[in-house]
Amino acid sequence: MEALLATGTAESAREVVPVKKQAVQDEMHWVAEARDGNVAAFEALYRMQVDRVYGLCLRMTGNASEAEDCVQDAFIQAWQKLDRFRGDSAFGTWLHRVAVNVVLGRMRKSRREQDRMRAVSEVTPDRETIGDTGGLQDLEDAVNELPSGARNVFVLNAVYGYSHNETGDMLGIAAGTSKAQLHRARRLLAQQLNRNDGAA
Amino acid sequence: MHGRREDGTDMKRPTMRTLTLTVFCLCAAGALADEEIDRTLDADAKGTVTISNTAGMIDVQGWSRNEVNVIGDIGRGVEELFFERNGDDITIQVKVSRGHHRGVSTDLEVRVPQGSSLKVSGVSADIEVKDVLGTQQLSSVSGDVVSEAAGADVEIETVSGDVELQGDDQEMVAELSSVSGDVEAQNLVGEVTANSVSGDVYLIESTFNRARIHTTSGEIVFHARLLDSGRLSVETINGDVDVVFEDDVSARFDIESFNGRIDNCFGPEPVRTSQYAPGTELKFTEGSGSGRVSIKTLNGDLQMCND
Amino acid sequence: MNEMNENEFDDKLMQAAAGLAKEVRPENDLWPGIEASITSSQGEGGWQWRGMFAQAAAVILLVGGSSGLTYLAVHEDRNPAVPVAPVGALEFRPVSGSFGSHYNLGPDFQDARDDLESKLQEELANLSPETRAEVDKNMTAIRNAIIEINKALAEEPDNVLLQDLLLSSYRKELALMTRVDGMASSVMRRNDI
Repeated sequence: MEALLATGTAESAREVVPVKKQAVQDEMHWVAEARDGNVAAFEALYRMQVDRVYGLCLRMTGNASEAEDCVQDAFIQAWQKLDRFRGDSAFGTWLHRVAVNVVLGRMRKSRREQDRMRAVSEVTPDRETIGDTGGLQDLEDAVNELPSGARNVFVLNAVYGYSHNETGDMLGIAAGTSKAQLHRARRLLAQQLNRNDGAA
Repeated sequence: MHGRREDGTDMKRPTMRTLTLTVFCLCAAGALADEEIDRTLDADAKGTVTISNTAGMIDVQGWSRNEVNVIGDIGRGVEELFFERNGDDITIQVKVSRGHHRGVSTDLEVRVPQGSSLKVSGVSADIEVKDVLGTQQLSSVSGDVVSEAAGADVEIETVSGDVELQGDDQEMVAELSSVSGDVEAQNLVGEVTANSVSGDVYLIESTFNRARIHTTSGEIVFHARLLDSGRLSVETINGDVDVVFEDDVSARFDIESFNGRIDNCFGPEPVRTSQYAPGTELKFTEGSGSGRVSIKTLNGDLQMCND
Repeated sequence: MNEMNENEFDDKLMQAAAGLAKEVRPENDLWPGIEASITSSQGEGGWQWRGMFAQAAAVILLVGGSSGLTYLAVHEDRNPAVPVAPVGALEFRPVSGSFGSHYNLGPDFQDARDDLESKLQEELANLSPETRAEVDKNMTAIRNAIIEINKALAEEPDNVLLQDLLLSSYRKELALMTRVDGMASSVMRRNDI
């Protein structure tokens, strides 16, 4: 457990990528072009953002092929709604909102089709691992096992750093519910990780 | 739909779903202008306003005038907008022509005297209520219902729509129920009954002397305060339950699960009900034991903690 | 054994979470699919409508599919994997011995239930296919719960928890049927001038 959490800090140091001013300006330029119907400009945006959108989709759905569908739908919807992007948030954040809506929409549809099973693992039998190295794998697995309400909040708030207000807004829940779900996620994770520790 | 009312406030834009229905209709019929209406009637300061609409939006907001104002975007296929006063009662009804009930959507923005009591019903209509101080009875079949409570009783029912109630920490009785929609409420004080079959129930940041929560497979999250001598009853077949008592709780606990796990961070360890059969139970007294907490699940897991 | 106290553990957990990879490269290049979709729709000019119609059509198909499934589950008892009994088999005969004096649901309950059940299918027909599917699905969930509890009760007839949950589930079933009843008649009223 110590190793797991220690590795976590080291990983985050490597993870940080300095954002260049130029990159942001480029992005705004592509957005403007894409809004005018320039597909090549939209492709440039796609290339810049796809990994971050896929990362979110993958963590929320736990399934590579569903995540790919989610990414495609998100970008297609983004193209259709580009005129609504006002630039008051980062383009990546706006894309994330679109992606969250796609995931939630799919979840709602699949809930209506199947009976919801109690264990998360039964609903998503092929939960994919993200491929973080070292001790973080345990944490990855544990997050994947969380019930969807808690998991969605944990991914948006704890992994991607959105505030409870933003998280609530994206998921269509109150900020207070977001806090409650985070609390729940943390306790479930602590339990899961301690249990693994005991077993190991 | 854009525009400004006389009092300078903005009118809302219709939801995506409304657009879909309206667009579908327009497409089928060719370009058609919807009729826009704007009517006002004098009303009792504390009368009852009854509104019904099949599809679209019903947006109700309380104001300080003793008048009811209806602004509507009436879709083709609507026979009339019925709007009448009868003493203390005002009725607003979207009447749809026979054989026209699919694809017809009407968005209503209604202003009512703040002290009014409300009865609103829709089929696929989304309902939103703000600044209404009287009692509310809201129901939609597949629309979502979002409301604010202000110390008066609220009853909300849906089939597949979600239910959301924002309280204002004043004592009242809330009855919230859905079949597959989620039920979410916060800042309530007093009594609540919250049910869903497959939807989830979230009750948070509230203070109860009575709370009853039932689901069949939906998740239950209760993060709230139970007053002394209060009663909490939670029942689910397959949903997982997460209970956190904010502040101290003084009650006799009677917790049982047939196949689920019980995980508690106060009180004794749960025990097997019997050596030979499934079942786990947790029965103990906390504090003065004045209240009662009863939690029953068939397969759902329970986590219970206090803050 | 974890020697950290709860708060320390929690802080480290949150730090680790923030350190998880936010960017993940998908295995396949998804751009071609996206490009195909946005350029083909552009060419037609009516792409926005197309998207919405396609969605609407998909919903109807899905709903049709799941209603069919539900029908299979509720009305046919041939499927050995899911022992869902047809409604008629869910007869409750109040026997004081097995359920104890508290749980005598009695003939009134049974009458109410039969009454509502016979109206249920008629009334479902008045509602939209989506709502019908929703109701069917949830009714099945409640009835499956009843069956599961009855099975468990067969092994342990004196189990009070099971008796309580069974009673609640019957009540839920009645409540749902009553709700549909109320809904269907109000829908009719609205559409009838």
